[in-house]
Amino acid sequence: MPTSLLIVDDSTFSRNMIKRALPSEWDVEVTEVICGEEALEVCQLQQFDIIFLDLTMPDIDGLDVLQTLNERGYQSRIFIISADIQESSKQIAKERGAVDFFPKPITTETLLSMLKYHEVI
Amino acid sequence: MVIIETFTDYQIDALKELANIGMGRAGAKLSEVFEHRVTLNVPNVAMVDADKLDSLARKAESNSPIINIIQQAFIGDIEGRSTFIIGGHNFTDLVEILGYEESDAVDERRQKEMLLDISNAVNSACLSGLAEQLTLDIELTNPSIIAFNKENIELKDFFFKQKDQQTHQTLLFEIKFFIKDIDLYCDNIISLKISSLKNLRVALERLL
Repeated sequence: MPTSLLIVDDSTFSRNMIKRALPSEWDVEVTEVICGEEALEVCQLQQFDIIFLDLTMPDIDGLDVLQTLNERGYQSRIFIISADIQESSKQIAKERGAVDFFPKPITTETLLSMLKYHEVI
Repeated sequence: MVIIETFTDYQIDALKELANIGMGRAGAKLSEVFEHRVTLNVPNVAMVDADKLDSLARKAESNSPIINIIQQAFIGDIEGRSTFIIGGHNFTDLVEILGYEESDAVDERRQKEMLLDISNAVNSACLSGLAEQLTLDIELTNPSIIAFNKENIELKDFFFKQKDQQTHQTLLFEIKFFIKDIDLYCDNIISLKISSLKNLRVALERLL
């Protein structure tokens, strides 16, 4: 059974770059949403195994999405993939339940080692 | 006759994302310098009328009665100019926030050095997001201060337009930073020369 993956990013280009970087050996079914609000909606309807979450988004930012999912007790492994590389952002994300934090632009090599390190694949 | 390059929505989206990467690096730099968290917004990227530069600068001015403006050109595979606007405090306050002794904080030469250093660091970080991803060589020239600790200035007095803008169109990147804890605003407005748009589009097509 494929892993269900939700990619949350307001940029089509960025979502495409992430999809392009997905390791070919990873059996994954991808759902994409373009903002924090949509992410919260779709997470009410579906349980995802993995979420790749951007932080800087025009409506609800990624840190607020994390907070809400955390408050709802949503069980998913959430990885931040963001250009916001401030130490404070990484710290807040981890406090709010993110598994790990990866700076953009993400490459296949980085993604593969991250997924292996966290025993996702 | 100047042919204006056009960009598709997807190309603009990609440029926005590349600017976002540069903004993230610049935000981290500012966060280190001021030791406070920096609020980042999604950058704005658009083909605009060159007059828009003036109105954006005036908008930044309305956020703060005291502003500093630094301009810095970049040359290389793509060329243009960055206008860095920092407001919310006079620079004596800023130097004190940075933890300097009072004697340094009131030294105008020291304040200007720091202003130039901050602007240079932010510009290098912002432009690196574009240049690295697009494999373009860009070099920053020396920054110059065009407004220092100015109160209630008329920004229309400053010259923001590029010299080659016969067409009055430019590609503009607007990157905003806000440090809530110390009430500090920074705007980085990057405008490209019309003559550089072709190189940019070619590099972008390679990436896409």
